[in-house]
Amino acid sequence: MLNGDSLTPIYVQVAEWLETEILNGNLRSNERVYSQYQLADMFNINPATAAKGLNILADQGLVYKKRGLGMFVSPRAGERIRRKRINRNLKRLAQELAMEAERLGVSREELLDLIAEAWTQARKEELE
Amino acid sequence: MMSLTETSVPAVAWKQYRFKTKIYAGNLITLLAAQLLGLLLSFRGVGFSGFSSETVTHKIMYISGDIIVVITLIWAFVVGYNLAGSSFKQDFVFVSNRLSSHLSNIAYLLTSAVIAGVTASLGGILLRVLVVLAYGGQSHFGLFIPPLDLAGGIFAAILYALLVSAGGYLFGMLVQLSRAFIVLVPGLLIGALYMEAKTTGQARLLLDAVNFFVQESSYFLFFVKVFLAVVLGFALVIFFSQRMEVRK
Amino acid sequence: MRAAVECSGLTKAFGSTVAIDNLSFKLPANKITGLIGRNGAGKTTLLKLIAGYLAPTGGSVKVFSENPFNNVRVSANLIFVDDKMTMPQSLNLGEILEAVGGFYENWDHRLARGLLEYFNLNPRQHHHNLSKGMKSTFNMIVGIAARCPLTIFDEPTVGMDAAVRKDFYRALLKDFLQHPRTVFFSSHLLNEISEILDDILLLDQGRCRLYMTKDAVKEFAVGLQGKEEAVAAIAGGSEIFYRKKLGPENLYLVVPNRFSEEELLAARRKGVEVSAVPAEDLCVYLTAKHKGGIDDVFDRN
Repeated sequence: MLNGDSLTPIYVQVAEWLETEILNGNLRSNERVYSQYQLADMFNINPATAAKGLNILADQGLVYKKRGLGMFVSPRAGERIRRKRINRNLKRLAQELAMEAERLGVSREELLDLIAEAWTQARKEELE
Repeated sequence: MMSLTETSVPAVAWKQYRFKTKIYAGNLITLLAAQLLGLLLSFRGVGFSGFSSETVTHKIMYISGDIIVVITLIWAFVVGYNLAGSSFKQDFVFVSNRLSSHLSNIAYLLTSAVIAGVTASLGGILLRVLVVLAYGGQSHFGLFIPPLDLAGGIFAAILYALLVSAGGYLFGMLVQLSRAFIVLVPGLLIGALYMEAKTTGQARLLLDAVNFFVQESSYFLFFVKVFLAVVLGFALVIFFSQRMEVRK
Repeated sequence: MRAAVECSGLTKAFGSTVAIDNLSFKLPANKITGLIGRNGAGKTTLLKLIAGYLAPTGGSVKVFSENPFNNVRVSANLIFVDDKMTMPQSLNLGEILEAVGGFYENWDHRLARGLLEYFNLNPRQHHHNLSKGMKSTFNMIVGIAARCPLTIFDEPTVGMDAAVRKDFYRALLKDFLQHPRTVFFSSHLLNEISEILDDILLLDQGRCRLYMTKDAVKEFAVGLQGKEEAVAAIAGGSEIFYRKKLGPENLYLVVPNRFSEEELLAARRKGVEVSAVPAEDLCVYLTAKHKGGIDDVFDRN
């Protein structure tokens, strides 16, 4: 669910949650996205905040508006979200990882080993 | 956009009046209980006189419905006073302005006065019937009251009740404006009487004021006097409360 | 958008005490606005001026373009909910709902009865026998079910437990989604209500200290924590909302959020932790008389 104390604003969190829904295939191409009122009700937030979250997706072309009907998932939105997340989130996480490793005096090889280990772990969990 | 409700002072006052008849229904029970008490007190008579010789005992019992009327008027005063105290706070919790609050109170007091006047008059008749049944004897007036006299009596009783409750309301509103009036009003009244007694040797002010109403022999003029007095009283209240703030 | 409430130069003094001081703002229609401020900041006075209970000493207040004082049309379109609402003692809760409903055109009786049942209030009980929290709950139900175009809540959660408060915020939001209206809501518990708010108006000594969207308030400031020199270097000459020494070398500063992503990343590299400042804390800092808060009193000795 959403985290009110996070540095990430709620409307950004709403946008990210919607992106994840698209990425997971819960929302498919040309399917109708939740309205701002549905989102407000789901997350117990103000509808204006929910609308702001939707607008982030609209601005990036991940959803498109049909007048009077609402917002719909753009074709190939999932793929674009995936690439965007690699560029943004993964890079940022990698940066933080590198910084924390430096603070702790962890060497480059040790860090890479840790990452490789986490990778196999994640793979295994997915197969199970 | 939620559309705005259009309304008017009379419409709101009517809603408030209906609200008040509901929430102050207890007043009527108090009235009936008080009148019943008055009936019981009256039943013992307000005075005796008589003579007896060795063979005959003559006893004259003075019985009147005055106690019922007095108790009813005290009730009317208290109702007026309490209404001034509680309604202002209560009204503004919901929909109200000053005028609608007063209008609904006036309507409520009028209703109360009608009920009080009718029940007090009927109580007086009940008293006569009971006395004749209980003591046998002869009622001075007889049991039959001409309908016109009865109607006139009821009409007068209603006007008295209205006058007194409006007085209570005016007093209560003054107290709402400033607590000092609780002492000030009786103080001024007694002070004026005292000064008058000191200078002229008589204290007729209050008596004259009461007689102004009581000694009127024409129903129509009596009605006009009460009507004007009540209108004046309410006009004063409405005028003084226009800038009054609502405190809780 | 049309303003539901408009104050200009609004002033209210009680004797020599100025409670509202030359206040001007517009409250947009159909938004939930939080009125925040410390005790004595003038929140209740402001709300009572808007409700028409009090008359301004100076300036003006307009509700739906009309002066609310002694105005029956404004009164019919607003409800003022607090813990001191006078309810008729002679009626039980069910009867009160019945009677009060008659005053409001949009009153939803089914909702009122439904909420009464949900919050375990017995309709045969009397208002004066309720506990503080139950009174607040009942008043809140009246406030929501009345569906007034302007709904004012003045510290409506007094005495409510956390679970009831949570349900109340949700009930208010759900009914607001279906029937949008202007809600002006004063509360000490900003963190709790923050998610359902559009805007926040922060009142300080009768004046407006901050008035912006809730999202903007949340991004208005950042907290910097780390070694004193590093923190000070990053803060530079910017305004400081709050400062607190953490041990002999560490410092926590709250400063305006004017940093770019890169600057924040650079700060992290220098060992300075950057954190969000909850809106509630920020409001406390902005209205504090001392930059160091209560700690100042103790540090002086």
